Amino acid sequence: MIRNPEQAALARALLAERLFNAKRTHLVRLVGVLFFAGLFVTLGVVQGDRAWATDYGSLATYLGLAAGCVAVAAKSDRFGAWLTLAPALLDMPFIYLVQRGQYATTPSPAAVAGFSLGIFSLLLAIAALSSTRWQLWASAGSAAVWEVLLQAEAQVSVGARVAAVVILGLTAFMLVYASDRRASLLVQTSRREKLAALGQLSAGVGHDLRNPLAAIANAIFVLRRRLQKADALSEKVEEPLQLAEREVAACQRIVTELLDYARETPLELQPVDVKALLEECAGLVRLPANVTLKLEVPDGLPQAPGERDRLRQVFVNLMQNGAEAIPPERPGTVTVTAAAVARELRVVVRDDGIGMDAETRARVFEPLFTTKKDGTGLGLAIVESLVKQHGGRLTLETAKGQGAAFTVALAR
Amino acid sequence: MPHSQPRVLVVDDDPGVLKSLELLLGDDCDVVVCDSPRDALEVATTSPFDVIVTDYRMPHMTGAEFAHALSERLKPTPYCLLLTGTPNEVKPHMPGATELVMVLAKPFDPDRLLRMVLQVGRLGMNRRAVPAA
Repeated sequence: MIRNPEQAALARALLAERLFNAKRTHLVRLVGVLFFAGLFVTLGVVQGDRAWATDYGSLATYLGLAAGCVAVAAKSDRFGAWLTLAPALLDMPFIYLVQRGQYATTPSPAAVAGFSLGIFSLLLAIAALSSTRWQLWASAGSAAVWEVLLQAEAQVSVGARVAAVVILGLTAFMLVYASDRRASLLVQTSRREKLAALGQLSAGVGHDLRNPLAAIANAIFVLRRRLQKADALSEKVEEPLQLAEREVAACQRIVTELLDYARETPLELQPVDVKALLEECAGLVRLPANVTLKLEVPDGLPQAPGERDRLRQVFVNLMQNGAEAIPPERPGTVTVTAAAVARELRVVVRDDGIGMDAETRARVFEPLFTTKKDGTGLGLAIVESLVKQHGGRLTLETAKGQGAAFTVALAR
Repeated sequence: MPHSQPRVLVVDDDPGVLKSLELLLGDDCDVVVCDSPRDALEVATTSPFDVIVTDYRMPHMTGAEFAHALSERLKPTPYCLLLTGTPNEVKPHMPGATELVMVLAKPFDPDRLLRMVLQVGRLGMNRRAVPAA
């Protein structure tokens, strides 16, 4: 299981929502059971309609348990979490009992069994509101068992029994799919909100910091020149001076990256010659001595609409990342390939470096996430946001020890 | 020679940056600083400058608008260098853009700015030497 704070927070939110839904569900169930008990009593006992005669004992027990669920779920979240299983553990067996109770008097047990299939599907949908994946599958299993029992006793054909199981299975499958999809949308939404907040914050901070940093950088430069002129640049002075220069440059880099990230101006798209661009980018990458950068880009690629400076930022970033993923003690290669595939122009930046494990892989585009000692954690987040602004896709293939391949797919 | 150094006017609304630019350029140029483009227009029209270094985002007017206003009042217009944190906002067709000799994106290398100002300043001093016909 990959656990990071973001996912843990999300899991908590999902649990809280499930508990809330479960409480509402118990109430709805109670009302439903009351309605049916009333119907049975009115039609069976008062009107004397024999088709509505049933096992009143189990109906009363069911009513009591349903009311109990409401009371317990309202009191305690700990038991409430387990009561999300109530549809599977309580409703389905009792529906079986109540429905089977009618067999003695109903003209058509098969019809009762068929009707139950509808109730079971409905219960499954209700259970999906408060169930996790395995709970939902358990509910579906329980529904299938009771339904098949009802049908067997009504002597329904085997084909119909198989069909009932398939229908319940498919229903469960769709419900699981829908709830998974919802969870992944929630992840995306929460990430987008985080990004938006970060964007606003960094734009504000970045603008405020840039001027003071420029003033400091200028002052340090003046200091160095004046010391130089006075012939006072000894080693004693040089060391702190260099430290200050280096650190100011680092601050400026961080501020620039933050502001890049928070950039709000829309892109100005123009046709870009990707081969020329990639060649230019290759020249801008700071390559360690042990790393070779190979460009395998064919002539005659179609042009892609883009903002040249921004695309350059994308590719330089990816190439630099690739070069930095190769451990300094062994030689390595960063290979850049490009091809026109279908309606896209795909550029792949592949390195044979250390690769990433599943946890890093999952968070690598998250802003402020970094594995580098002096990284800002914004590089790949910026790359992803820029590629998206271009209407393109950024995908990553990697495994621990297997290197990494980033694919930028641009519409052409 | 009374004026062997280029005369530079620096316009920036941030007092820290203004002071640091004064220090940076002050050793090699005659520097006058101004923290508002409105005042700077006054200063520039009353005494001659070879180079003007201006910020882009300022109250009342942008650096480009400042250069434009200057070019309407003063011929020949001093060479204008623009410093900006948002180089994308400076478009080639905006008023005043043609007056800008150079647009430097922040963060800029102080050494580079100094060399640029000195080079452009030399041009300005040469122009000054030949009286306008």
